[in-house]
Amino acid sequence: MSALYQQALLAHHQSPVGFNLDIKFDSAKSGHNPACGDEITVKVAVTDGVITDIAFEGDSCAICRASASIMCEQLKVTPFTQAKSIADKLIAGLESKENLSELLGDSYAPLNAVASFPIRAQCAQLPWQTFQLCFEELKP
Amino acid sequence: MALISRWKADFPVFTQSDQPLYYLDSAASSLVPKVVADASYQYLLNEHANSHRGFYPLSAQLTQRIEDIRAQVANFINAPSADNIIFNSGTTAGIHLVANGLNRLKSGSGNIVISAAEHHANLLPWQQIAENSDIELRVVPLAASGQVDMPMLERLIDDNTLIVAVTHLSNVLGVENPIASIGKLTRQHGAFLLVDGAQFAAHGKVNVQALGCDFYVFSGHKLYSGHGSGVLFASDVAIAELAPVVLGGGMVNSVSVSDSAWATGVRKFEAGTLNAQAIIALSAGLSYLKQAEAEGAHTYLAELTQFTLDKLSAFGGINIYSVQQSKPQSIISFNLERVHSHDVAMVLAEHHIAVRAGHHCAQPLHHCLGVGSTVRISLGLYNQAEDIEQLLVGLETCRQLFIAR
Repeated sequence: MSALYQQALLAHHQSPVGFNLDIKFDSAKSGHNPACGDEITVKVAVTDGVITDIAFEGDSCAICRASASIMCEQLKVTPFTQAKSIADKLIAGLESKENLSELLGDSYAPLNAVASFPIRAQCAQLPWQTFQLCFEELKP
Repeated sequence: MALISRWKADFPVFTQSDQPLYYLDSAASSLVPKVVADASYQYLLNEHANSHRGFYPLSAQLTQRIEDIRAQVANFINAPSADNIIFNSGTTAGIHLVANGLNRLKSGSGNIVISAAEHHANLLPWQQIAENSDIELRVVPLAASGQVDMPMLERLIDDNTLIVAVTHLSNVLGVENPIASIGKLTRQHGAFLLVDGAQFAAHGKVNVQALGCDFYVFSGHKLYSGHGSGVLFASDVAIAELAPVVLGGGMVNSVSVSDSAWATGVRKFEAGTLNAQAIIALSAGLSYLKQAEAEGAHTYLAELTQFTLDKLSAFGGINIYSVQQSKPQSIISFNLERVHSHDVAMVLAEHHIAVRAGHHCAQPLHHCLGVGSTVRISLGLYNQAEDIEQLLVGLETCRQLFIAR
């Protein structure tokens, strides 16, 4: 039905993980995509170097929202520095149009099609870039 | 109602590919009819030279042609004379010249009045002046109609107002402002009135004298003329107060290493080589538009706009912005409830439908509307009912993908 909006991506969009959750957080950062208008806030709680909770909120497109949902799903209970490394790889992978499921695992497959739409790659990158801001604030 | 365009066949882009094209983005740039492309091509092949410079026939003929087009443009907007017409690269450049060249804005005090619906091109230059001086920038809110709130405007204009700068037709709402009334008010306080005509010029007959404006700006690329041309109309009084901003060749009477004297008239605002190709395309575009209007384009597009509004309203789940009290002209912005404008535009693109999504260079207006972005459709001469039917097919896909689950 749509090359970009595959079922798996839409599933995250429809039922996003970590969306609008009222969590106790150690860092909350906002990201903005001026080209697209996406706005997102990412909240992270870290205990003993591990992400214990992560959530997001904001007005964003389906790509941004699905990407944020995958981020929350994948990064919870992940060592903070490892999460940062995943974020770096995903952002760079979208930039260089790599296959994200090959790069990071099948959970990232819903974002594979995004690489074919360079103008939308920034939508998928935004949650992760915003997470990087949280990392910068809390980094060990 | 037979809403089939009699002009669509004039635009080769619709037949150059196996893929259909449903182009609903004319407010960004309108497409180019073959007659305009041919005029550009003929110019490049047979008439290209440097105008206003050479004594040889090729240059002299081009100079004459450009001056004839200046008169044609004056006629298009009912300016008193060709001496009121300044060529430039587009609306942005025209506003920039006024904002940076008008003597009264160098006084450092007073106020500038704009509306909340302005395109960034008619906001940022004024904002910059306010930031760098004691001049105050006053922003008039919009009434429920989407027009400038006139009682508020009356309160904000005073004898210290230097210039009022407003759009003739909002590039988001498609709503026409009561420029003649604004002009009257502006004159009572001795202020100048600049009208951003970028959108209106394609949709209605402009009469700068009836509007009572001092400046009127528009671009060729929204007038079926391709990119590169722009027009600034300036009244005689306004020209007398306007200093050139871009300095260089062709705009001087005499130059020595210590001082220079500018050319008289509008040529002093046209430093450097004029974009003759774009000006010739503009001429062809204006002729084409004039012919289309004689063939009923205005009524046709009004009917098609109403048809579109009716269809979108009947579709349901769509927020159409600011059409409660005013009839939009060929421009309609909306959101499909619970779906981001960029997702709508992407799905429509997969249906070969070209629309604009985002803030359309009018972020303050979107703040007023309480939304971050909108989907905008804008109609041109080539559009017909079929485009709107296809739009509905695309919107139905959006609904199924993003909502109906």
